[in-house]
Amino acid sequence: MNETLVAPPASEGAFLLRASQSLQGALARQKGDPAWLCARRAQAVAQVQALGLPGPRAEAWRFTSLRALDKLAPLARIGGAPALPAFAPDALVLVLRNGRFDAQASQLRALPPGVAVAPLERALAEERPAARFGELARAEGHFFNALNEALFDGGVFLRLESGAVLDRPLQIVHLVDPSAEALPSAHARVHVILERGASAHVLERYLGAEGASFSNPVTELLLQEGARLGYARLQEEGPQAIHLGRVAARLERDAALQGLSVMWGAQLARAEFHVELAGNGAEASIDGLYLPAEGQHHDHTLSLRHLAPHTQSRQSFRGILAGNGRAVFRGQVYVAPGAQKIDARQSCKNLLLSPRAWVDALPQLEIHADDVKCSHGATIGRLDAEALHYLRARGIGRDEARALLTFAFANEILSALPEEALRSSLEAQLRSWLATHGKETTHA
Amino acid sequence: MTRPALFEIRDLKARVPEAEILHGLSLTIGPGEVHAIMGPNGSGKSTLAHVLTGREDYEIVGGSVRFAGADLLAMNVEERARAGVFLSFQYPIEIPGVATAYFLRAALNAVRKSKGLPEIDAMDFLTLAKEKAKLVQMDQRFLSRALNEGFSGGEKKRNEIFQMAVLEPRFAILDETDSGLDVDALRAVSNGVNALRSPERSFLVITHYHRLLEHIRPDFVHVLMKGRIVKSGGPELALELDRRGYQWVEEELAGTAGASR
Repeated sequence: MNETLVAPPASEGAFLLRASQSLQGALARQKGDPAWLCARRAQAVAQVQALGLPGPRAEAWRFTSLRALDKLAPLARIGGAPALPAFAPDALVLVLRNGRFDAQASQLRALPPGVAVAPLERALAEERPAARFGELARAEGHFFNALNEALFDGGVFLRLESGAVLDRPLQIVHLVDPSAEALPSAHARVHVILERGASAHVLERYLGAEGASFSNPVTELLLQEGARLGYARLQEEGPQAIHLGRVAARLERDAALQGLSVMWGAQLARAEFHVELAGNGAEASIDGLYLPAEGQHHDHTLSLRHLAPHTQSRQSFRGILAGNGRAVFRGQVYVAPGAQKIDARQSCKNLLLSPRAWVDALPQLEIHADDVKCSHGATIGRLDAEALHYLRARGIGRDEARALLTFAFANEILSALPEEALRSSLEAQLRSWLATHGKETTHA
Repeated sequence: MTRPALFEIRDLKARVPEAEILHGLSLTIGPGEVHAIMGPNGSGKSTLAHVLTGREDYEIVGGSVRFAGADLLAMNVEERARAGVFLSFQYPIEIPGVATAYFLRAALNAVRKSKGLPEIDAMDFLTLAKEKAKLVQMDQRFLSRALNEGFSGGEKKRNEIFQMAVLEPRFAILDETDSGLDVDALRAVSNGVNALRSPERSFLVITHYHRLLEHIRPDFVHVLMKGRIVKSGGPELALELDRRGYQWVEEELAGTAGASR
């Protein structure tokens, strides 16, 4: 439902002004935070104020403008809360509404032994993971991490003890709910620790409503020796949303991370992955799919840091761009001195459905060892004319052939997903996206 | 009494931007007949296959092609396929992300729809596909794999004949289906083709070698040179070409041309 709105005029620096108001509010509240966290928040507030919003000349934001943040206007009144999807009765679901734990909407039952899932604020008060908290996504020198640390109001804490196995995926649903606030903003924080040999699947979904909103989530993943994590991150926020999220992971010896990032929503979205391959034999694979249509900007910024020998990383990204959709892919691979026998592969392929679409694909390699295998490649193009001809030569009409190939292009990413239910729901979403945007194809 | 021709090519001329390749080719094929076209490299064999199946890189400069009484050249690629013209590609391409079964069911349903037949559902299709896969001794697991992805040369060619078996065209062109096949694959592919021979279905077999024609015995053999059919005969002509090459045909032509002057 879209009730109308009165938007005050946006002014230069409006975002910072609002942010500092929230910061003062946050400091004043301090609710039940433990003392160490109060201190951390105060430091984070100082960071936010000292750093200021990154400008267009900041290297990390060269291809993604933050100007939309200033134009993000609070709405006097907007429609109701977006509906939650239906969950299977045995699903593990934790709902964060505007970054805060929603006990009523969550389903946390029958956890296997050695698995602890809790709202973050409770975990921080009780179990004090202070030493690890914020270690991977550092607030120092990073405006948005600092903003998150200063403002987070809740989140999820997941810990698997040594050898524990979470057999069902844990779904973390981030819901932007405009019925609660004039300008919903969420600074959710997800903190995952997999101890030695533990194994889990985590799915984060970002759902939103029609109106303007700002999400600034941080997810930290710590995988200790031999731990395995399947991690998927689906951004499906509303057409006016701004989403700037970060995932910071550290993989110790023989740990394996299988990651996926899918973007459909938001006017401006960035997902950053910062992965440290810190122990011998660690493996990280991050796949991604982005589908920006008219008025949307999708940015994936990744940094895979090989700090130990015999580590592997793979980045495989696909983008389909419609209308004047824009995308950025920046994938950095860093190999530390002495980190030999590295295998790092990176690929980013893009399909432009319209002459107005634009993609910046920037693979970056920084290698300080000599016995390494690194490959990278980026392609930007249209559907393969040979493939199109082949399908038509079997009787499949031009439009259907195009749809089939476009679907296949994106589905190469989705078909690698091990979870059947997630895969088929994403495939269905992809088909419906293509039904709306896929026909814009200009004729070759 | 002769039956009406299924396929009638008259004085066909076709070109790519750089050059004219077919210089007035005529050929008539009756229902149930198997015609072989042989010829040296660059004589226009593959061009003929592509022009007949509607590839858009070629421009038709002159002539006509009638298929079952209709103007074939007026149809686009998919319309020709739906009308029952099939090309077994010389170089079948790989299409990652599209499962063979999914693709082929879409193709079969496109053909069925054009004939006003109901669509075939996934279960019935699978039964049909498994049965047809046996014809070319194709592993059923290929059905769920991406189209031709990682297939060997022989597997790709089997897949072509398998598709033909499922789509049941009235007219099939085999464009150098034998190239790159080992003896076993050649036999499997030939057996598949022979199983599909019927009084209602015609074939145009394009090849360099007599070898294939030992397995798929043609009714007529034609020599294509410089964009024209210059000689026609029975199966024995293929054997002679295999033994003697094309030089003598060229000399014979020059002689005839000289004599007629």
